[in-house]
Amino acid sequence: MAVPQTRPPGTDVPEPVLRIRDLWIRFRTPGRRTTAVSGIDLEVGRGEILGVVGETGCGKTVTGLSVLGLLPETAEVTAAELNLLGRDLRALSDDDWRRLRGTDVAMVFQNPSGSFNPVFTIGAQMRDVLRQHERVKGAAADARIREVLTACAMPDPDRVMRSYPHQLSGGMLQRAMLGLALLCRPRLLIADEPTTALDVTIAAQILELILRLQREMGFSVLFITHDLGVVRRVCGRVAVLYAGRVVETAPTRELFRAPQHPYTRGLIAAVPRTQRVAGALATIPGSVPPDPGAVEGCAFRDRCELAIERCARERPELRLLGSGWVACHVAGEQAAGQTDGDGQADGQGQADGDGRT
Amino acid sequence: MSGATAPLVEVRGLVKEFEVKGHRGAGLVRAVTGVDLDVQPGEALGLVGESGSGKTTLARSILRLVEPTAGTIRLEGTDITHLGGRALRRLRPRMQVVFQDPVGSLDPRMSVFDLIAEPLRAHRKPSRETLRATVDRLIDEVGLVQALRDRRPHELSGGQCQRVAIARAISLQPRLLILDEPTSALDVSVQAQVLELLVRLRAEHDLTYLLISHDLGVIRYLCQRVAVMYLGRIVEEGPTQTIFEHAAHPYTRALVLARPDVDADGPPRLLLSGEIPSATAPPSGCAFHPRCWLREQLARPQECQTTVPAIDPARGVLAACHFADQTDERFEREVNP
Repeated sequence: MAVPQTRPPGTDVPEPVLRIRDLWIRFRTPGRRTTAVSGIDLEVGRGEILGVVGETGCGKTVTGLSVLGLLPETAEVTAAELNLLGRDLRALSDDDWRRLRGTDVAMVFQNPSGSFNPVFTIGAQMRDVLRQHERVKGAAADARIREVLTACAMPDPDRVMRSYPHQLSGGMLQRAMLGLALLCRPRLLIADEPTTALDVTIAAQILELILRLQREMGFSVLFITHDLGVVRRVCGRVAVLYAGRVVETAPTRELFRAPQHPYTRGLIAAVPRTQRVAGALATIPGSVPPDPGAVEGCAFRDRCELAIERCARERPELRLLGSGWVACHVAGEQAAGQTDGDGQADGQGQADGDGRT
Repeated sequence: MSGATAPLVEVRGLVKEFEVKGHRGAGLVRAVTGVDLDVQPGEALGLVGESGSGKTTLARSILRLVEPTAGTIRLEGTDITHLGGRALRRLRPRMQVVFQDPVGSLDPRMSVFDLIAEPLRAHRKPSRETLRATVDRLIDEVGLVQALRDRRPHELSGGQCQRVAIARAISLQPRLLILDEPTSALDVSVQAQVLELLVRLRAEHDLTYLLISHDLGVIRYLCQRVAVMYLGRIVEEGPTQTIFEHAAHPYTRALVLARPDVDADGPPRLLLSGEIPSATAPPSGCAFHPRCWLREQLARPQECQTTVPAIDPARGVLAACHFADQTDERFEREVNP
């Protein structure tokens, strides 16, 4: 059968800082093995903000943790390629990981109060990082810390340094977390839902801050979130995850203007708008299969109104469509043929890719 | 804002203070500072605000889950502010609540059937047949499948748990349903399903909703009217469409414009500076004045710092701002391009 143009390795992004090929993450629990990530390909270019969106359990957080070597011991990670700044992450010792974290790659989490040690001041924890990674101490360290806290728009850096985590508000603590992550000028920042726990007006400030720091310092960002509005706001490119796989990846503008995968389309349509919208909210029926790694064919097919017989048989690979990549047998045909209603299921067999790629 | 009908809920001068004990000694937090609010029968009223704005405390006071410090709460004309014991128990079936955490708000040891049956058993003492029939009907109504009836909460998804919580809440045919961030813990696709369910149930059961949410999209989808809270006060109240398109209070405008937009590229159209002040030490005058962009535009008028603005009619809504009448063409353009 004619093979459509599927994703060849490493053609998407020039100078990738991070490159992931065919990443699988499985968790072993007594008597059970669940697959959290089943064959993800991702790359983050230099100075790029890549959004990784998806719902609970799609594998976005574990993918981020795998780049930091922070997965629990029950996790089994395999990948054809897991490469950060030219270094193979699959073969790192614990010492290598320790050197890498903070200096090459750093992470900010959703819950900043859980990421600081409650019994040390912010300043002490930041000094500790500088001492560990760069052997910078004393006044030199304090100057660096003050500088980064100022960059993070902290009005009174000295007060922040003297503060314990509980003495700062959620927004201030997230700024401090960002400062801590950027202290040793990492090349890649992994931001996992950094504004989800914050209030709307504070979240907007933090998003602007991340954008400004990224422009000024030039690091790359893997931005993990479930919030499509946030993605559109901060990311240059997006990868949509569903059930442990990338189902679509495209430049942000294109993804929102012409989403190709039925899941992406459903996700965008399901966001309740603040502008006036006619009619009911679009919903995606059903829910994610319990162990998507074990599903043959497309894991979305039971929720997909476009599903054809082939979707049950054959797992769709990412293929080039328009300006992005999409893992769907049907995507592209609908737009091309202007089908509507029940005509949608008729495209069977005529297949993907003809004339589109 | 009272119409021809009597309000279902009438809150007057509600104040709730909490004592806090910190390492620097005890203090008082005013979570709610003199709130007046009417909920009309059959409407869905949205309560918006950021953390510490008092929206949950207000809702819990109406439910009589916290004891108000001052003020009165009436339900269908009856003062329920100080009801206790049996009278309070008789009140419960008329007001029910759905909480944010769908899994945590259900007893993990009970089956779906027993969870939905519990309120009926407690308040109605039905026969076995009636109970079974009612629970079966409720399971269908909230869109659960009967096959789940013997499952326990940990075997259900978040969306399914929230459906169970909703079935419990409507089982006694309440007049008022208070929904406290009912979809915040759910994924977008599941949230849409639950919102659709809530719209349908309200129509079918003639329910009145008081919906608390930080998500303005959810509010716009479900509610006809909105009240916006900031630091213990209602700062703006009015019809949903007016609030979203012609908000009179500068804080409401900022809230509407701060939300990252799924449908537009580019930076936020209005970005507030500063933090949400602590309720232990609220700013003088208008509590919003340290963050207010309109005050900056107006060259910092004195009264914002000295006088708490009353909530008064302004441009089709009620707004607590000294300068709510100043039209802001820029905002109108931003929201209604």
